Amino acid sequence: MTEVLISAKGLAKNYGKKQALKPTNLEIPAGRIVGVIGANGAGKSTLLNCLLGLSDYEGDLQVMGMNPLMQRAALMEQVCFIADVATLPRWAKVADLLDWVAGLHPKFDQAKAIARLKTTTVQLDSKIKALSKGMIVQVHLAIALAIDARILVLDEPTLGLDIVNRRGFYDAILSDFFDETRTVIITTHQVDEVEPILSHAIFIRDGAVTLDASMDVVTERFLAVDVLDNQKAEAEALRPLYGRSLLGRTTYVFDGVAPEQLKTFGEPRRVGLADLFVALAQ
Amino acid sequence: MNKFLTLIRRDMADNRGALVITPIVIAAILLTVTLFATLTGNARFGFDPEDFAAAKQHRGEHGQMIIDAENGPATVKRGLDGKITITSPDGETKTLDQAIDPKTKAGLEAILPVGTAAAAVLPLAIALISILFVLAGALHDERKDRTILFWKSMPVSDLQTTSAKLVSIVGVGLFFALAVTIVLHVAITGLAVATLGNVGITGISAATVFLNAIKLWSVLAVGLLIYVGWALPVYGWVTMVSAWAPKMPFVAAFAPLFVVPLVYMAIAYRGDDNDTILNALWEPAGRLIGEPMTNGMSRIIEPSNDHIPAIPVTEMLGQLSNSLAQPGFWIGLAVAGGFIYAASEIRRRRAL
Repeated sequence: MTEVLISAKGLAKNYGKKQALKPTNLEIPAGRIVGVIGANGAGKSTLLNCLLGLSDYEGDLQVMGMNPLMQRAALMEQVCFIADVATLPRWAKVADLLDWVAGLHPKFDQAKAIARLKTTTVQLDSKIKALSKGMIVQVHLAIALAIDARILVLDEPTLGLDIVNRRGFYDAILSDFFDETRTVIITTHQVDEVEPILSHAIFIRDGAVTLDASMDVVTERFLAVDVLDNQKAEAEALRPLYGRSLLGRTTYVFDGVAPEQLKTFGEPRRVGLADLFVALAQ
Repeated sequence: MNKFLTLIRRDMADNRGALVITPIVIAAILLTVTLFATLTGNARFGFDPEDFAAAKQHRGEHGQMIIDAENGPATVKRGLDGKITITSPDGETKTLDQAIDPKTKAGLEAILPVGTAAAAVLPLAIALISILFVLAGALHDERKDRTILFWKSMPVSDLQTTSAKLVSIVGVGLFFALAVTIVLHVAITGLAVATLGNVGITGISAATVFLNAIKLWSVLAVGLLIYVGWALPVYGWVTMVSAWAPKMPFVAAFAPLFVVPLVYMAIAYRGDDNDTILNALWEPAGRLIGEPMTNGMSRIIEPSNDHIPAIPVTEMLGQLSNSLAQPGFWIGLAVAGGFIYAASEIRRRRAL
């Protein structure tokens, strides 16, 4: 049986009267790459902050068998996270930063981080504030990948990066970090970029989880088909989640409808996460 | 322990400007000013290098000045060997060395390091103020620049982080400033001793002067340690406000400490020196200026049995230590512990 790394029951977070995260149940096993997808302010970062022990919460939450809020220090030996590109101390030198992480994190391999940075244009004696966004991400990535953690949490890690750096970032995560014993959790707006590497998707809307499913389930459960105008009534009888008319055709997204039923309208196809997110938001 | 030392190294690097550079720059400026004053002091006294050169070449009378003595004008002159002579109104000429009796010289050995210490203590005095600003920003700035998200990804508890900030800013910061003060004191005192020798005063033992300086340093070091103990509740309060304040943490921390007693004075104070409420309200400010530990510390130099001034180290240390017997000291430490714990809890429960 696959080890469950994260387990939440009734996990919720309120900011005053505003419920940023509605009671949520989650189970995330090892060996997954989980995409947490939602609009701005939907509650993605709130969920991650709870998982990382960065804010208090209501409900039961266990990460690696620990209470994140009460045992954050111990938990961070097993969990590594990159919040976004702007969290490294700008006043620090890269070499000093690596020294401090080596002094603070028992599972940090400083030589590995330095070896990785030597393959980049980042100079160890540079100050963070002198580096470009792409270089700062390289530094953060070098630190994260040199930590022998079980869970890697990435909260909009590539925000503001160009396409080359974004792709390089995810390639490095896949090749240098991920294996069956580890889990990666990613929140991002660039859904299309991470979709090929995800094994699991969680949609959040207005603080509520609207989808929590593996990509295999998503592929089996949700199908899209283009329907001609004269078949629209017939298609709508199957209660699609969403329909979008474009260039004389209407694309419908169905939930749990057998492919054979849909073939009468056209060839059913897999629904992209971006389209599915929009469909479930209706 | 390794983690704690790493945190201190990190915090020292973060606050290098305020905690390391500032005392060194102040000391460098003071030393330069002292050096300049030593040289130009000669000029004001009529002994600037130019005048002295003129006297050496037997050209003119620039190397002398007339001062008003009790019984008429006396002439103070620098000789060709650089030594000072004083010619009294009755025509008797003595070297400066002859004009000073041995007891006065012995007194100088005690007074000199105290006088130079008064100047050399400036880096420490400024550090005492600057650490309040640094402390107010300690837990606030990491939220403001979002670096807290990086540091919280490290396996370090909030209590360790908060304590390390306090130790590095207050402990290391102040004692580094003390070290700079001592080095500056050595330099200024050395300059003063050299100047005395230069004008021809003999019999001033540099060893005795520096021994007295060492006595002052021991009092200063112990006094600083006890001062930190007295001021710790204020430091703890500032740290807590830093963890909580959404903006302007310095104002948020210090406005209540000064505005509340002032408002009370404006509204309810009737001139009673024993007003317990007012005394309690001013307590934090009093602790910051070291009031509870400096009562009875006015005599730094006192005459010994043979009427030669001396630095009563044992008595001064005793007076400082006596302040530890006050319940307020230990209550303050407990309150400080509460504030520090509260600061770490606030940091634990909110990342931004």
